[in-house]
Amino acid sequence: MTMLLVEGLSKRYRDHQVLTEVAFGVGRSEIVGLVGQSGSGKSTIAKCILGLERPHVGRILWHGESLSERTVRRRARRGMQAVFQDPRSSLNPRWTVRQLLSEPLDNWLPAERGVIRLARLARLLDRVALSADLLDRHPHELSTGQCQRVCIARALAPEPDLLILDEPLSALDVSVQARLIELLLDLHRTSGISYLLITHDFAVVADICQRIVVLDKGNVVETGKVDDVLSRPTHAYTQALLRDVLPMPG
Amino acid sequence: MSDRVLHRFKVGLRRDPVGIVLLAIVVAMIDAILAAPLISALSPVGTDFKQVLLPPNAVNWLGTDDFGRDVFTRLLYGGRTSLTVAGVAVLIVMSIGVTVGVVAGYFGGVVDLVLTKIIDVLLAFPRLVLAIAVAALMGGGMVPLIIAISVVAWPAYARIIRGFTLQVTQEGYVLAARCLGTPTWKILTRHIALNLIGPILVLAMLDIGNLILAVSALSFLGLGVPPPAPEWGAMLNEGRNNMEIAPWLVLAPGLAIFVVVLAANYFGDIVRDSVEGRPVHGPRNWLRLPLLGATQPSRLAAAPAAPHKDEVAAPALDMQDVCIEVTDRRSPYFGRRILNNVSLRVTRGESVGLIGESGSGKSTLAALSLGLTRPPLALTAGSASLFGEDTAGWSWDDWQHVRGRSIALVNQDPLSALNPVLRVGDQIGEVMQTHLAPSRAALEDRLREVLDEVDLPRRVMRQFPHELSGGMRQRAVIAMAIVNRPALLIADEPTTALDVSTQIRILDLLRGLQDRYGLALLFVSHDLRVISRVADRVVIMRGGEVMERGLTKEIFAGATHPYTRELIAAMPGRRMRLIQAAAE
Repeated sequence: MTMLLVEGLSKRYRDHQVLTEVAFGVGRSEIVGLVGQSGSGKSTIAKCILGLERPHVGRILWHGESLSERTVRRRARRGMQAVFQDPRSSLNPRWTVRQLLSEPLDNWLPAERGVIRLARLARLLDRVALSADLLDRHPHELSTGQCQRVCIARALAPEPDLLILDEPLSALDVSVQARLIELLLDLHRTSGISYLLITHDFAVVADICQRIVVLDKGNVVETGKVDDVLSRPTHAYTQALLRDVLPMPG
Repeated sequence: MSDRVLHRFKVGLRRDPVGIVLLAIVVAMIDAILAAPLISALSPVGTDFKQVLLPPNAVNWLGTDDFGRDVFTRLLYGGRTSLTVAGVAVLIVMSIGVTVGVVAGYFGGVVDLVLTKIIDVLLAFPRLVLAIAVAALMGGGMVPLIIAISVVAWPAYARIIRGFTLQVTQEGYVLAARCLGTPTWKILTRHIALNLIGPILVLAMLDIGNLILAVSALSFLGLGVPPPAPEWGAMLNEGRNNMEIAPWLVLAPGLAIFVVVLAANYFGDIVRDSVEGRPVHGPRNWLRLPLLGATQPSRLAAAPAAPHKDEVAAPALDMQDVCIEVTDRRSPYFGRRILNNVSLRVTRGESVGLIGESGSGKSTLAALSLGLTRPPLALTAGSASLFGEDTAGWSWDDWQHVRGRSIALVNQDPLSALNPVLRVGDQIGEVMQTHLAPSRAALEDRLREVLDEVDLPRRVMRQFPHELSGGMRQRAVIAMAIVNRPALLIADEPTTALDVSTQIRILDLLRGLQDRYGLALLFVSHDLRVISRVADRVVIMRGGEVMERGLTKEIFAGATHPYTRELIAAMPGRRMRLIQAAAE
């Protein structure tokens, strides 16, 4: 069964139709890329899935159950987590890494304390290749790349089945991007976690994803395996987007 | 967080002798008020008609009033009432104001609508008149006084806190907390209220003065603590009748109120500076340069105009062994070298890509070429020349001549580069008027021409920045940059905030303009794919030093420096190329 299924999702802001009957799914251990230009409605989809916005029409199913049910929503809150574009604004500037990572743990494992909690925090940092020495630092004492790793660690804390990654690399330097892509692929290999990667960059999608959903002005115009879409794009919009990808120099 | 704020508060106080004196006086006053029975053996309410209206003397330090009561003792006991009422009122006002403001701002919708309407209605009444009415209805006394003051004071707080909450609610960490399943009450308290603590503290400090005044005013009007209990405002009122023969009766409570209110307002400012993390010292960055400009006459008779394409002339930008260091001893990074022996030359008609990641010093270099190096940074070695002239001796006015006219900048965020309340046409026109004073017709001709050059429709002239897409905004910024036909264009990460399709069009536009007008283009970016599209030559920087330089093609074909190779390897898109190659 598809883990996350979006069906006929439509959303309107006043007169502006942002999403029109969007439908796609993310399976277990699958990496799906949601590609589109700015204003195509990618981030609105993420917000609808995460319950930050309410769709006007359509359903979102989590393991076959509708997210409009309160109990399903509660389960899904733990099962899917998000990482956003700007790691600096995603971290409360007044908190230390320890407090930041403890927030989800306090929500899901409120009884855990002391050495066991400390070990879990260290393990989380280890999974994103950060040293446990950083626990008492504030976000402003970390580099942007380290901040994004803390965001990923925080999202991994409730042990979710799905990570929604909304432009997670855009704010980072190229070499930091490359290391994070490595990290994401490693995490996927070791834990089988699924990703829904939202981006405008086909090059990044090709490096990470197995399947692509192409979005234009709130409509899904093409979906398919990465290899198929990249080598034989059928929709004119996808073809245009692919032409705009900057070629590798040299 | 509290440590940093405390540290900044201490530093702010240490640099401010007035603050220290005020603090010492207020601490002494509060100590005296708390220890009133120990300091004065006299009773604050005991009358003695043998000692009426005595001037200050050895026993009665501040004289006596018309009932023969010791003014100093009454001042001490009265301070207890005044400050307690004001302190309790601040706590109540803050609690109601913060709760209502945060709830209205966070939940929005109907909740917000109802709460803001209530606030609006309450704010429509004059504050003190409403307080008088409430106090009069409830009769005199301390509790009615506190209630009367709190009822009229909270709406103003609630409205300000609501505004702050609206901002904080949009922050990424609040969204993240919602995704993490954090309960709403925790988000409201730990994320939102905690991040509002700065403004809340400042408001509290600034308003405690107002509240003390309000307490005194109501007591002065006879609506406060009933006599004979002492209170500063009431003491003012009682002393009024004998003001001419016994001025100490009004001077003593008047000065006490004055000092406390002054100190509260003054601390409010220091607290705000320490909480908001502004530099505690004055704006010395701006003090120096205009002075320099004023004392030195401009050495440049006229800014160098854009040269004809095939004119052979000095390089547009020429930096030789430039070193930039932190030279301010007060800076924690004193002595750190930001640029180390960097040489860079951009000739006319050439496009140079400057590649570097965060901390490589590339933006410092761009700032240097625009004359925007500011303390704590300073040029310590080497030279920077523009159009063949050494800029070392240039005054502020010289730079003002050149900036926007011969050199122009396009930076990363077009939204912040454009003024949101001005029409795009006016902003582009302003750049031209600043330097060239064109006629109205010439200005409009050039505006239309420049919009064509950047492929923007003419209606954009009458539009505001928020009506444009990200790509159109960046085109408008480029139009602003090229409207005066500069000779050197510096583009600092101009495409980083844009999506790929827009990115490639902006790059091609810049490249086209550079070709057509023989511009010298310095293109700064961390993205090699972007650089390879626009630059003839590239310079790769890391940690303030040049790692490698050469022709773009050669560098990508065979980089020699390991760092360059690492950067090339890090570029995404390898698999995409493989897939597409296989398909062909």
